[in-house]
Amino acid sequence: MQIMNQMATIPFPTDNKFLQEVRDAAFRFAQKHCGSWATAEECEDLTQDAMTKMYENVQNGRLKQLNCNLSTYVNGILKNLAKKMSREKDKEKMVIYPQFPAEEDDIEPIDMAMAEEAIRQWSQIDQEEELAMLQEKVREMVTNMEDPCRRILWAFYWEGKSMKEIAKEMNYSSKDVAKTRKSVCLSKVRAAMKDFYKQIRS
Amino acid sequence: MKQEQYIEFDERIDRYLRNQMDADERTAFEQEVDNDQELRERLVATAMLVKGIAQVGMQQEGQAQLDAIKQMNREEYIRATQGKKGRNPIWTFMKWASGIAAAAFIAYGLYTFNPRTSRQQPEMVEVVKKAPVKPAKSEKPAEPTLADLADRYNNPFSSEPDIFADIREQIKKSGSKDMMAVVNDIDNVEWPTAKHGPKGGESEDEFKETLKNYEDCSHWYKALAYLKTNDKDSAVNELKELIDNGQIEELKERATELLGQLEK
Repeated sequence: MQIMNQMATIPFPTDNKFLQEVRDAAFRFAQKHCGSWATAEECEDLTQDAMTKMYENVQNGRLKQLNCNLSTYVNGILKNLAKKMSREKDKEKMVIYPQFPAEEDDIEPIDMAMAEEAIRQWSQIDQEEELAMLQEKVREMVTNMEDPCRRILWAFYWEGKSMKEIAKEMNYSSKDVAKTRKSVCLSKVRAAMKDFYKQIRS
Repeated sequence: MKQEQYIEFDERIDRYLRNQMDADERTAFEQEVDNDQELRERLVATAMLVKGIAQVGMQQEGQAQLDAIKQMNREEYIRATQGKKGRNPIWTFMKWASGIAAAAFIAYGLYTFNPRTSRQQPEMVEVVKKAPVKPAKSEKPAEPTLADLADRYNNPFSSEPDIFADIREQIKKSGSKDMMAVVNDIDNVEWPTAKHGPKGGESEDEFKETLKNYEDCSHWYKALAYLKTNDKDSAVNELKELIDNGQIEELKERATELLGQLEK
């Protein structure tokens, strides 16, 4: 049962409100992860440095394609800057500051080069055209996917949310339920891809 | 393959695609992928899915955002991303103060100039005095709705496959508009069916046991999902199918009891 495409095109930003939202989210991220060892001023500096770095990467062409939403990208930069700052604090004070917490919920963006290599190496599809058709089919599936799979997979892979955050948003009783749900959704994607690939070959 | 194994696969696949494995772990994982078809297909499916999500994400918002940033000069960008430190506190205070004052003025105006509050209040008091509220007669407790019945029966049973824990949560937490998605999920997930046969060292008898568990559970939970959408007829059909052809006695007893409630 197909539902209307809920991911209809959103209007292009006519103001830069999205930047303020990314910035505020980055500051909250900095406070959450660095608040135990960095001052508020330092968290503010980390945030501004991460936002500046993102701007520079766009301007110099290093950032042309996002694998995740802009907020997750900026938080990734912020995390690296914070690690550097905490190491420098260790040297100055001769005190072991807490390292950047290795939270089990800490989510990194997908490395698209790894994803591309995995497809190339293990898809067992030699024909470029067939691979392109299958990838286009997957893109259509993403666009037309129904809830809850759409919400879960989008939140996890694009918005960089943890299973704990997803469970809370979806009102699941635990992150294990969210994990099970995600796994079921991936099984559906895989089954649909297999069926489509059989159709292409026949 | 059990759901727990798929979940474990998915966690390792995500770590691999995020480049979070060290060299030894990565080598071992890649060897396993070479030798395990299920893992290989799941890895490729996940990789293609994340690529699809990135493509859609760029199309929906990412490209527009990057283009907007590209067009800004540094001063514009810094102004657009100023934190609270950069904002003028006096101006911020004035904005807040004027907003609060305006809201207070509007509230006062509505209260003072509302004809109903100035004229009708005494009449309303009179009406209340003249017609005292009669004590309510004792009423029969309201009949449970179909959704109430679904919630009451939404409990696990002893030999339930793990995957249904998630389905139960969905039925419990989701609104009625999401129930058809739950019914779809029950129909479309890779349940073991007769054509797949036993897997992973399962004996024929074990496979038959698994099969009847899944089929009986799917009828049961679809019945509950239909009740949540107020579709009594579809729920009754699922329960009757379970009672007539099911194998799990515990579930058949529950279905019989629930059907009795629905046909009162």
